[in-house]
Amino acid sequence: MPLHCVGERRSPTETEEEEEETCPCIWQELPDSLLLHIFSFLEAGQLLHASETCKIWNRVSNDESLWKGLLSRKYNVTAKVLPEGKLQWKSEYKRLYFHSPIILSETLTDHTDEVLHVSFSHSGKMFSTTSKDSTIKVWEVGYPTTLKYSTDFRKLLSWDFTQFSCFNDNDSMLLVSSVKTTDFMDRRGFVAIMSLLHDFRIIRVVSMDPSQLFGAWLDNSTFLGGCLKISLDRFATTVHIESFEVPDVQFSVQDDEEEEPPPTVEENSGKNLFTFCSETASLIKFLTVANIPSEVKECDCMCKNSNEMEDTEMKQEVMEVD
Amino acid sequence: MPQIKLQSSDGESFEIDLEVARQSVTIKTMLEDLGWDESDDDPVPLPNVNAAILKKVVQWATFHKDDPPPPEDDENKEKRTDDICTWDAEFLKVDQGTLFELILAANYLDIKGLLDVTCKTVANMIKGKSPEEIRKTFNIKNDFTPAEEEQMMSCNCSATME
Repeated sequence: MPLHCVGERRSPTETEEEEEETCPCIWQELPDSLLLHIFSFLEAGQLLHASETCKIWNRVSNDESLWKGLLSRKYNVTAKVLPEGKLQWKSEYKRLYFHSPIILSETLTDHTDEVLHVSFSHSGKMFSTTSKDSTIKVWEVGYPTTLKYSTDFRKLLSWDFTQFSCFNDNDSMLLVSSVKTTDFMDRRGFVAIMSLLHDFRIIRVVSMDPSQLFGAWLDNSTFLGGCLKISLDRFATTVHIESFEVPDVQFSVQDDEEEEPPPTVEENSGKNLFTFCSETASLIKFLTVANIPSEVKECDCMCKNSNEMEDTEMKQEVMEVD
Repeated sequence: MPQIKLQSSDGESFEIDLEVARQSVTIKTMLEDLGWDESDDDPVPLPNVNAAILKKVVQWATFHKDDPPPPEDDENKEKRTDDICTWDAEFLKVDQGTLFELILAANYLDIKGLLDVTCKTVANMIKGKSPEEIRKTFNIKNDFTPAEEEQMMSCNCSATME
């Protein structure tokens, strides 16, 4: 703030100087505890304005108990002590206020059951949602958000729910991971690749083992999946991580008029990349491509165990590399 | 209804209902500690409250004698300042000196309801005002150096926080 401005702002009080000397501000003599009580009724912005009036009010308005209370009332932060690594409640309040999205702009109600996963496209212009209603929906971001595509996999392939989806790097295709309960109460997993350029047509459907394995994009036209093998003699479970190519399908326009046949599910059609061998290999859930290689063979894959915390990497023994 | 005598700092005596006086936790505790009973005729001295303010406090406590006890302070509870009842709003249309004295008296006498409503009234006088307007309202002298003020403005971001 320029200095002359400060001078100007003080001038009105100068005329009252005489009065001030005979009658000093009583409010500055209020004990801190009572000033705190008054300030406890203020919201953050008003409190900051009060803090800018004079040194005493500045000191009292910075009292951490006030900001702890504000955090609790506005953001439901109920921690009794300051979390480790945080410096003060006031800075936490500011962080939440200025750096977290808190405005609900729209509620989308198209899903008829619990939404399980939301995934954003790399361009940020689309996002996809999977749900217990077994549909995959792709949305176009905007005001308002619009539904771009929706496919019901319960109707199409009798899948129970869609659990995960993921855009490839250039947002031309979407990987959708789903689960189906078979007649023998056994769960089977599937991955469907949908085209985002050709009316959300299904390009490829493959089975996925273990069923909760999400699948992941390796590059724009290759995705990863798994194949579970239980080896009884070694008391170990092995999961083969396989790569699948997505063909560059050219859809003809006439196809629209014909009744499309349901897509065929391919079994064990992938190319083996890695084999993980472990007692808990059947619990693998996330596949994350950490280091996109120029050649697939040098690929660095990380696996995460579904029953562990997300940030702990499961230590898998790599038995063989194809 | 038993009566009790209260004596202000400037020696004036007030005879009020015991139930009204017991809203003050300070008086209530004092009576319990002293083993006061109805036959006692000695006034209870209140050396921190003058007659004018004590008169106001008694007036407030008489009106609110049938109120339920105020709830305990809860950090998570919304802090409203727009819930001052009409009678209190009218009662607190006083000069700042009186309001200030009432806060001190409510604090000394430990009357939570009166303390809350007076503090809310002051909070309402702060709300919606710029720092300069607050200074004017409360006759506060700006004692920041220009450098301190500049530094404070840059880290507060108060202009953008509601």
